[in-house]
Amino acid sequence: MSGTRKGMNRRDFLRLAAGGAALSLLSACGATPTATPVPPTATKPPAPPTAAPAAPTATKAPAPAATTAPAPAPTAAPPAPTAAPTQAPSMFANKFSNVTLKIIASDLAYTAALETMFGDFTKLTGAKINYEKVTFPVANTQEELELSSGSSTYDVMMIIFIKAQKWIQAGWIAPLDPFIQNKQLTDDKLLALDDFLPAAIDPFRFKNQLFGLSYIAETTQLIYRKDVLDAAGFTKAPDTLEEMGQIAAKVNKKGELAGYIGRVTPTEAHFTWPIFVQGYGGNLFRDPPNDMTPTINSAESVKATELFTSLMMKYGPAGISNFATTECQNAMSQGQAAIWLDALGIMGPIIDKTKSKVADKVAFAIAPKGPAGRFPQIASHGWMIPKNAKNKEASWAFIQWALSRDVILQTALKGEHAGVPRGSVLANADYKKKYFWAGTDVGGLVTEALKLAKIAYRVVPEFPQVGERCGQAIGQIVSGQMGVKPALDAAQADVVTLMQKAGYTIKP
Amino acid sequence: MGLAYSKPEVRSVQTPGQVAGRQAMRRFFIAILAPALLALFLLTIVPFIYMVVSSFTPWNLSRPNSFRFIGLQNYVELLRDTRFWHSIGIQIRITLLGVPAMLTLGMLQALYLYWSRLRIMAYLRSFFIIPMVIPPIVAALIWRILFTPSVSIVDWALKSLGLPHPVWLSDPTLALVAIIIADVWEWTPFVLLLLLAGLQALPEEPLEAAQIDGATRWGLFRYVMWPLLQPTLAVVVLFRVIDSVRAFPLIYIMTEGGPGFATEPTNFYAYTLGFSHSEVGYSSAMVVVMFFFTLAVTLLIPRFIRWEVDSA
Repeated sequence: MSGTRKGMNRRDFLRLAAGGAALSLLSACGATPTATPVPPTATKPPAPPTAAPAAPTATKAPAPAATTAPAPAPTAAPPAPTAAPTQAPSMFANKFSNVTLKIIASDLAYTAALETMFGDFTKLTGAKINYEKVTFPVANTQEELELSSGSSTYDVMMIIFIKAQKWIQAGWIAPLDPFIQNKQLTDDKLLALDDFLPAAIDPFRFKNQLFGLSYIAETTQLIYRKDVLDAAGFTKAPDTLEEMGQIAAKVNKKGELAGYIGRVTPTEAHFTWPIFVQGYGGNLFRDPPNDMTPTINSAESVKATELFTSLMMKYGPAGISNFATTECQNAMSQGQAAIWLDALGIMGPIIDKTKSKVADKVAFAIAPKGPAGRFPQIASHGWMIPKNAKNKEASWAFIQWALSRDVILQTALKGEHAGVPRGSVLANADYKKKYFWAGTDVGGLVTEALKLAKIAYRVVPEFPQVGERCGQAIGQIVSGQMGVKPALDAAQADVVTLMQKAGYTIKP
Repeated sequence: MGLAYSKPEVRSVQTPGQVAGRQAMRRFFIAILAPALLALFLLTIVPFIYMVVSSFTPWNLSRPNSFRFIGLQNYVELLRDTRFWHSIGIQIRITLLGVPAMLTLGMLQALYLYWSRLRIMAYLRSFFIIPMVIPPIVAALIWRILFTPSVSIVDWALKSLGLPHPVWLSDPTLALVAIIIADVWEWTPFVLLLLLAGLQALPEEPLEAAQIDGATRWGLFRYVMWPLLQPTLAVVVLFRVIDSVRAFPLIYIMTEGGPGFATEPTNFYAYTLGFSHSEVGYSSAMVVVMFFFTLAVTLLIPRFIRWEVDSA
């Protein structure tokens, strides 16, 4: 038997171990279990979408992937809104005082301005708001995870048009028509459904039902350095894509001023590329949504892509094949680029005098046209109610309030939120005064673009994958890995496989 | 003549009380470990099994009724998927170029710190591990800025000196090199820490004996330290090979797998399929293949290590 030894005896050890185990259990209680996705319960088969957007709807590519800068501070005090502050319809007064709405959206100019007004909603309805703002790509991924697991965490979510059909047809979103038709829940005057631009809300329709309402309806516009073009002898903005290429060639100064910039990352390159493809008479599908045969490598598409990629390869800045939203904003606002054709919603920092060196030197124009016509792209983001949301009536009250004419006008006047979805706001005198940027009636540009856009190819459930595959092909071309035809041929083959897997019949 | 000697067998005789005590101790340890094992089972084993089951289905989260058994179809499709094989090639390059670089740099730093007589190194030592403690997303952002010509101070300096200043992230070859550089910068401190601990745990007698015999530092390292460090090196290599398969933040922030597919390793491809496209079934098959591939590598590596070193 050994002699007495110092140190812990068995009883002490057991006490210490028990205490440590108890602490471990307590700390483990704070861990959030991993949510395992649940198979969707909707029974509808993955049939090709039968509901087409009613008209060649609006909505060009939204500010994708890279975060759109949150509303930059206006350079001058905004004019006082002419609309009276939002008044509570009596039907909502204190109706939801026991409710806290959980809302998620990406941080854009509209949501940043709306967040400052949440107190008004609480005063009017009694409901509190727990608002989660995340960057655009994170919002999309997180929302999809929540929806696919059947979660009831959120009461109101952001919906973007390129995901809308996928989410709607998966049965993840509650239709709004029962709410709209229920006059106990809807104030028609507040909602003013007819005031929404059809192009803005049509992407959220399926089989004649409405599943979301838009808060952004933005379009692709051309932003260019007026002083640079004037010095080069061009007194007006390019009207055609070919002219744009000629101007870019003339003004390009390697290492100093890029003649043209654009987004080229895989998840963003496909937003402006269709302006060229459609402008040359092509499209991503033969006749979307009726004939979803991919036509990515058609002769028209190849010709369009040759121009699109050559602009960036010849006249783009160093590193262009890795350019996303932030890089384009930086290049343009620091005076390193002459022309940028892209979403209006991400151009705010360029006209912000606190951030941009060229705020006074840029001008806007409508997207140039190709031989087959002018096809600006549009984007629509909006609000929707998840199928399993716990407080649907309060959610609907929030949507009516947040998208009311007064609130939309106020958010447009408080922040740099030009892409509004309501006709009355586009026509409002204060809005027009504020959004007379660089001598251009931006609201007028938006309205005109909304009429011209042809984006039926985007509002199909499989488009996110198709768009990304096309974006990768563009990246391969711009980085010199592949020529235009081989890259588009490879993309075409992959997209055909993808569409066949999704159940489409591909016609030769 | 030597005497044959055999160690006598000693059988310990335990009282019933001692036997009962050992059994009670064993039950106590099991009871203490049970909650942790249960958590491990629920949070790791069960999801893994679920993933393996999913890999035999064409499950797409946005398509109802897609959770049905289709046998090995996903695995057969993987064999035909050129993008998958391309991503395997990218992954192998990241591992084969990155891990040796980390080992070399980590070993050099560990030797320097081990042999350094500067007292201040004891305080400066912690600066060496800063890259490892920075959140991976922040590290990725730092390197993205450094590799973006329009905002990079490195690019500006090279340009000012008239030196070549390539556009790393736009070049299909250099983009992968950029990822590897960032990965090596981030995880070399991990290698340094383990190797330094291994060096400090080396027995002193053989080192002193070699020094007395006139061994140079290179000789000391080559013939004494290196063999003794084999087990530590095996652990380091295992960890780094496994971690190199999970180099996700760098890819996501710096290149998103581009330009084209030039920097898309298998885990990023699987992420894109599973999270962006909701193709959970196919992505699960891909991850299962990666798992067994990584398992095979981790089982093979120890076979090349001499675990026992002759003392003579």
